[in-house]
Amino acid sequence: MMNPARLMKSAVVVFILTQLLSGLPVMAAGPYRTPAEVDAWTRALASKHSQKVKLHAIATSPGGSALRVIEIGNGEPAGPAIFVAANFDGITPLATAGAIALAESILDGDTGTSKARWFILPMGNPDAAQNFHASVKRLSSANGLPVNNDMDEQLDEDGNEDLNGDGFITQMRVKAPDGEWRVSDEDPRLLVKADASKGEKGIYKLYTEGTDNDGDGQYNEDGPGGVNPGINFPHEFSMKDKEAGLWPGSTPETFGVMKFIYDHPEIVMTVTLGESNLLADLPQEGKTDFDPSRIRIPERLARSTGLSPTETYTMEALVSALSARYPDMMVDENMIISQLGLGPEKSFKKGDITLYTEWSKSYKKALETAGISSLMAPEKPRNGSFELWSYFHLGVPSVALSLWEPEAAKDTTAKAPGNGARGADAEKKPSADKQLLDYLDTRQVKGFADWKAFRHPQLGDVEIGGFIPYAANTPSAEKAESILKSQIPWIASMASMVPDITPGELKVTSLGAGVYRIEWFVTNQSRTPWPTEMGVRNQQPAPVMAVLKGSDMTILEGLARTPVTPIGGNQSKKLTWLVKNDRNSPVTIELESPVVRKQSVTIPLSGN
Amino acid sequence: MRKTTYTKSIRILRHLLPALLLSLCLPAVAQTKAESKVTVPLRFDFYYDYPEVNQALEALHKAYPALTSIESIGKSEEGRDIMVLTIHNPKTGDELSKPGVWIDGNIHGNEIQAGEVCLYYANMLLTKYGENDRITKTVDRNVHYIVPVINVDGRARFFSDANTPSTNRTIRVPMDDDRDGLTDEDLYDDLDGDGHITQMRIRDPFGQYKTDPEDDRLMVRVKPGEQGEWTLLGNEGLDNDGDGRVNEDVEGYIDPNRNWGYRWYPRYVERGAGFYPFQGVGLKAIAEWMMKKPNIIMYFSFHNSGGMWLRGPASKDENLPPRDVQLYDYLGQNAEKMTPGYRYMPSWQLYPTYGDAGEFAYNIVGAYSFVGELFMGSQETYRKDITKPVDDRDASSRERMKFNDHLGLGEMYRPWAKYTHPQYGEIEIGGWTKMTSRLPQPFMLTELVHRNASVILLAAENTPDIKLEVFDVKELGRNLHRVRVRLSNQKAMPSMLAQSAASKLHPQDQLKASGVKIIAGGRITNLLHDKVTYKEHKPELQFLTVPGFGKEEFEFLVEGKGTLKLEYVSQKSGKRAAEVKL
Repeated sequence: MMNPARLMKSAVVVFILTQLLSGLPVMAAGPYRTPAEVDAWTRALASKHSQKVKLHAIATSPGGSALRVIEIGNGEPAGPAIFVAANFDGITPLATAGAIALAESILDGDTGTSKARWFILPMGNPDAAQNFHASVKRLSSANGLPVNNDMDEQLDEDGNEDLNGDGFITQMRVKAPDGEWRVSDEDPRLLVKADASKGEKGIYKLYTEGTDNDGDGQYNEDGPGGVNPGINFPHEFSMKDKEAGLWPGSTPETFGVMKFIYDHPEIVMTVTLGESNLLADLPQEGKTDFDPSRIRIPERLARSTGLSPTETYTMEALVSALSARYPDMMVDENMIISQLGLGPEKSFKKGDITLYTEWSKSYKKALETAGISSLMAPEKPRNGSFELWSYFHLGVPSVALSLWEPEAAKDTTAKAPGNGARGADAEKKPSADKQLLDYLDTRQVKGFADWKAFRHPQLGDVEIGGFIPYAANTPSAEKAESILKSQIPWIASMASMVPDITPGELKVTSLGAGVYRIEWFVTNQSRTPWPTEMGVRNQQPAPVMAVLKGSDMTILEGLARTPVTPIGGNQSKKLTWLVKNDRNSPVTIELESPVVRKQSVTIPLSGN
Repeated sequence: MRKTTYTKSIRILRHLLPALLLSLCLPAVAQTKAESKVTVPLRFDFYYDYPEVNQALEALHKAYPALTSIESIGKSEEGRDIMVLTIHNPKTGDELSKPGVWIDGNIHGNEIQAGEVCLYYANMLLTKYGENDRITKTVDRNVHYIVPVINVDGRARFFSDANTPSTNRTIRVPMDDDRDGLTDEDLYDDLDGDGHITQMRIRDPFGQYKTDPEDDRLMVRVKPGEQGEWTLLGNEGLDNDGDGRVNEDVEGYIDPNRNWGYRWYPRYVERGAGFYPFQGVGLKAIAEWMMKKPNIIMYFSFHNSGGMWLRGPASKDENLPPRDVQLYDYLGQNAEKMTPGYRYMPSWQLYPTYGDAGEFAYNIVGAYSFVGELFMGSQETYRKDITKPVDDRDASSRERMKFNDHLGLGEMYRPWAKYTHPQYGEIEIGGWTKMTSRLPQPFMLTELVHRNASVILLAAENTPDIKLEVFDVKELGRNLHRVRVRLSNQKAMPSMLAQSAASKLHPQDQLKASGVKIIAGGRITNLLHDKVTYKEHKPELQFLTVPGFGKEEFEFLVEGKGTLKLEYVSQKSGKRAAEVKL
């Protein structure tokens, strides 16, 4: 353990270094930092920009690293904010580099905070992120929480070993009569599962590199750690995956993020930097069996509400029937849906997909500028991921970006090697693995370790080889620089996409005898609705309220607190009140919401 | 609105002042009274308020220091301590090597008698230890974790604040129930200052109710064509925020039994869920504490009301392994006989729930989980033959009123009284008081707590009791021995849950053989036919679960001479050892 004085000294050194480097381009410090370096950089950034930057320690990982959120303010006490989270899965160093570049770019530029404030978490899973910097590189999202993966008598007892000493954990293949794998027709380096129905026979068994340390016949089945915070969020959480944890938020990184975000209701958008890309691989609308014009009431509910279980009802009819029966309760569409037990939403809403499609076009232009024509298929957002949770639970636009995937080969119809390929097969798109190999080959990037014979202490003669960890998602330092240069400005420009709800035209009509009609327009100047269609469904984002205040005023029609939201993009909403104001004292209307900078108008009411 | 708040505080002050003065004048008297109530053996003819519950735990600990410890699991949202009493005899083994029995209550703030069941059970175990054989054995063989009050803020405020029998269930995290941007801004108001939130009614010839011709304190629904007399205005209160609705954003509302981590769904799916599992501080502290007690195999959580023994699953789309259902049936069917009128059933048959504590205990803690729904209104009788149920709603109300008159000393009901409401004008306030409807009258409490505590005792007695024995040693020649080992369970409860094994929640029980060379080892599948399934790797380590009232048998082929050591290790059922000289 480092003593405090030494820790202080090293922090000072880092601070001075950062000061020296601050005038240099973004990548000067090297794009890929260790968790300790990220933390030092974070603290240095805060002291350099003490007026604009505030740090929030939101959790400590099981491995002992602090998770700090960088708040970049704009001098305003409130108003909309964007939360950026990077590298929850711990295997995308580029995501962390992106978050760092984003923070620097916002602070160096002058437009990044005019419309929105930022909260940036550069490393969501520091424990796993450390693996990239280890002398032996392995891909693992597990944090430092010990987990008994194989349910035996020991914890974390059978991890991988770098048997051939090449610095990477790759794979081992072993010839076996009951092998399931055969050499791919596409490329002799690749293995595919044998398909018995096509007369194929497997010859290899495939393992990850290492020994059976605990002698149970399984290889590397219980390595160090842990839980992956990247799949520990509540949306579609599944405890069946040991790496997901026992319950959503069971690991401190995830719980800390959820608490922080709910403590900051001004967050109107999230950006996830990681493995998935919701703008390159657009979300699809799902099917639903629920028809709001023909609703059947389950027996149990019918009994308690006096409705008939054999009839069908429209949503409107149900709302009015139940409101009449339960005058004390707030009966609305959402309450009925929740009583019907339809369960959680699982697919993106139509209106929101339109928004994603528009953003996607703009984002792809930015990619083209970087010379990236098309991305190979990014990972799908995982169940329990931060990006899905943001969309489905927070009800805000959730933009996930993978920043980089190896570009697809130009000619995707190239014939597969081997003469036996028939016409139809030759037309087939190459597999993702083949595309990746082609990419690595053409760029002469060392991303695949050729199979080489090795004498394994337990398995005998094996071959070790396969894709090198991080080859598929982590470009070289030089490449990273150009990727970030082209994409970071686009992400920074998202500040101009946040909902922008402002007071509009005001009309006051005197009806005589101190009675006035007030008509007020509230406008969303942004293309982005507030909240999203999902946010309307889950009722999670706090409402924007128009609050009417006057010391001697009586409201004849309308409410002192009137909801303005939901409000569509580029839309105005008209609010009206009828008030009686005998003494002509001023009346004010205020827009009240964490996502709106406080705005009020004073209405001079005078009899005429 | 400001005006309303001002009047409200004046009103509150006016009600508090006499009590305040009284407490200043008579501190000694008040204290003596409180102390006299909390003595060991504990009494169960009144309800303990929150400080008294803690005094009771302390008193039990003071009286039985060798068998008990008390600690604070953590603080609640309002900073109150959540106390646990551990009953454990260190002379009979380590804490974590004994099957753990968890008992809690009062997760909903208003369900106070659940806390009394916990206190009664603790009191019964301790005061009868050494005198009653069943209890002595249970105390020596098990460890009990008893948390009488989960929702400490709720219990404290149920006593101190004006309430209905059904309010103050929530944990104290302010929420915006009516989506107007404000939290908890339209609370109930004790308009008549009697300490109860009762009902409001207004005269209305078009109303749906008229005065009951048989008892003018009650109302009956008008029949079609009949002239109405009253409209019910709901619970006592004001429209504090001027939005045209009364009491629509009351205290809370996160339901503490909808915010645990197993199959948790957000608020739009499951009313009462928080923003995320374990939002707040109290429940999180409790869950983390439970996770440090991997030996917990039996879990009871007491609620009111309805008279039920509920087990999982909590939703229809989940199924339990048959072996777990067997154990539940054994306990549940016995419990039904010990608590007449209670129904034993899967909780989804009542209604489906997500994120509740019982499901967390079953699926994440790995404990058989029962929710006891205490109290049945049907026990408040005033009739000669109680075997025939009263089906008619009005007749049942009249009977309950007679019960109040003759057995409840008239304290259960507030007669309607006129009140000038700032928004409604001339109204009447009256109805059932807070210590009714879901709570037995104190004279019935003793029987309720004893019957339910007896069910806990039955379950505790049936926690696994594993025996390890070598029952057959045979020489096979060439220095080879065949050793057969039996693990048997004297009790109904398996040594771990089938569900935990299926979901790989924690490692299965292990039988380890050491000391001599193990050539092969495996489970005997048919003893009479000598059928054994040998384990390919690590034969010296076998994984198993010992069924309830059943056995598992293993065979080891051992080479050479020496002492064969056998060790059984279980997360839930402790450790056993045996050895045999070869």
